[in-house]
Amino acid sequence: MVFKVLLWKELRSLLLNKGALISLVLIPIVILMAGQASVQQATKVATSKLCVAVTGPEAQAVERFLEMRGVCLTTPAKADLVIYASPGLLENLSRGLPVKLSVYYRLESLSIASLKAPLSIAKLLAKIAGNVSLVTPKVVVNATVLLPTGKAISGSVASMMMTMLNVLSFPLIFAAIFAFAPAISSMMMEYSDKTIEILLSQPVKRTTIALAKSVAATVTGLVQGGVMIAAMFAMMSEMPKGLGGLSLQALGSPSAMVLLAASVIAEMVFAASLALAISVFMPGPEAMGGAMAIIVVIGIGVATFATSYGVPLAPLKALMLSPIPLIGPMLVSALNLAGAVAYGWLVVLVRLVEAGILIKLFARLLESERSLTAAIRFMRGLS
Amino acid sequence: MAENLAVRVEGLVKVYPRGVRALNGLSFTVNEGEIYGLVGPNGAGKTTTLRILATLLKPTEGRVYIYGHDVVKESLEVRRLLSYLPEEASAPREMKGVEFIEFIAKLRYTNPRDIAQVLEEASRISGLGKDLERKVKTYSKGMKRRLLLATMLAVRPRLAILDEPTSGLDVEQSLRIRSIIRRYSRSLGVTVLLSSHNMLEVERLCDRIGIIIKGRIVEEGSPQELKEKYGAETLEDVFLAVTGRREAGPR
Repeated sequence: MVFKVLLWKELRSLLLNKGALISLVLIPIVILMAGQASVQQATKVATSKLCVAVTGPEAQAVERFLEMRGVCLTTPAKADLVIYASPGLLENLSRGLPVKLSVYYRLESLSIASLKAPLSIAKLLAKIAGNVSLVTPKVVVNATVLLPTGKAISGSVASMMMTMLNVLSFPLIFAAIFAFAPAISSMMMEYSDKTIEILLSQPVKRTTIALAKSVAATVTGLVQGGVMIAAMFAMMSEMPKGLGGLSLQALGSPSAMVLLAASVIAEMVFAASLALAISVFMPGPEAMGGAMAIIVVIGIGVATFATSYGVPLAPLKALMLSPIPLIGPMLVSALNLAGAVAYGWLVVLVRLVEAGILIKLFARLLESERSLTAAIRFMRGLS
Repeated sequence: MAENLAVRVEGLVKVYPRGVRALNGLSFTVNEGEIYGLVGPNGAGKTTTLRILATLLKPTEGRVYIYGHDVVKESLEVRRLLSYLPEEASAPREMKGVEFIEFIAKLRYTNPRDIAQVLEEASRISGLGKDLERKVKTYSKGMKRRLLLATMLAVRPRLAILDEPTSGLDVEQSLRIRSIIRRYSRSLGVTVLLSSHNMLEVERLCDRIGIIIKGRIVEEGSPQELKEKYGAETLEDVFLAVTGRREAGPR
């Protein structure tokens, strides 16, 4: 009961204030604008460099069609993508009708840059076909990874892996950068509102107060992270469906994503606690500013670590070399799951450590009136 | 008897981490139902004493009992018995007055009837009326103080610890606060331990006072007793005599 009362109060103060509301509206707008600008730029660069090879029954006709429109043509071994020219493809391209293409990637080009290729290809082909609209692209691209053994992995598994590898890291890092704020502001509001002593003198266990603050900060971080991820989804939805497009199905496991996000946010809360501890041991507004800078650095570092641990990049590349098709992707999926479970436990562990630190912190803060005054002065300075 | 004592402080010592000795063997008692005032110059240790009693600080040495409960070993039980109003306190800015009262009430009571009673009583004591529906950030300093004091009394603690209850308030607001303390502590049966710089306030409010200097109680008694003892007309004169700033002494 008391925990619920405290949690509700914390959530209200964290979510229903001007700063939080503004950030919930502004952050998605900034992400959308910045994201779209960068995607457009990447498309522009990639499009100009793409070289295409054409195979299949109508290869010659399609090659002529593309050549006349200034597309770089080459042999399949050197091509960035290979188009299989099935019967009817040329007609559809000429008329600007939807076409379905298989796009082959060479293994060595498996990188973040290569993920932009489907969009570039879509845009290129849409341009060729006289349609430059990206919102409703007429080209549907399916991903196929070409292994050195000559075999190809195609379908949702490859799509899921590659999407998680390269795209998931961005919203997680964004979430991590912004999620430390609730933890810090929860504590800071108590100082600036001068409510900390009244709260601590109530008949409530310190652990309950610390846990309520901690949970509220995490929930707030998840809400903000959720809004950011939604903004990312909205941005990515402008890409063609398939590999380049981001959907929950493509991510494979929404729960894994939530666990990963939670783990990053938990790390952020932990970092925020550390920063507060630093500010207590080194009182003064400068130390507090330094501590906040440290949080940002720790946050980005931890987020990067968490992302690469949860979605192991290096082992994936090695596993992809497996001579047996699909073994690599299956192992990677299993690793992802294990990583997510491990992170679930890490979240719990971090939560316990963090609660302990917060409790110590409360006691320590009250021991030093100077740091309390410094914190208040710093907050006033910020405002 | 210990059972009749609301507060028993024995040989209290507090040394802060940087070596500052705030309390130096402080001892005093507060009887149940009385209003006891701690007075002393700045830095004498008043706030430190009250914070230890409110379980916010741990003493370096000595013992403190609130209604027989050790403040260190039984801190949660002690917090159930008391309300603490710090000198620089406020309520969360984004909360309405009524929401703050409800929040504090819910931390102490689970029965909706008890919570409703606290709300009603706090509203009556504060005299804020419709202003309770406004956010705290729109309140004046005096209104905030009335809200906090009313809430701290309305939860019906057995001991109310008030640190400089009228600090920074104008004459009118100070009078109002004093009136609340006097009236409601009696009617609700709350023992009050307060600190103050204002001798007039202490003289009018307190049954007994303790003058604290350098972390020790150097004089104690009712305002009348002290005035007689020092042959002084006002408590201010007593204070100056005790603190050595005026040539005077006990008769």
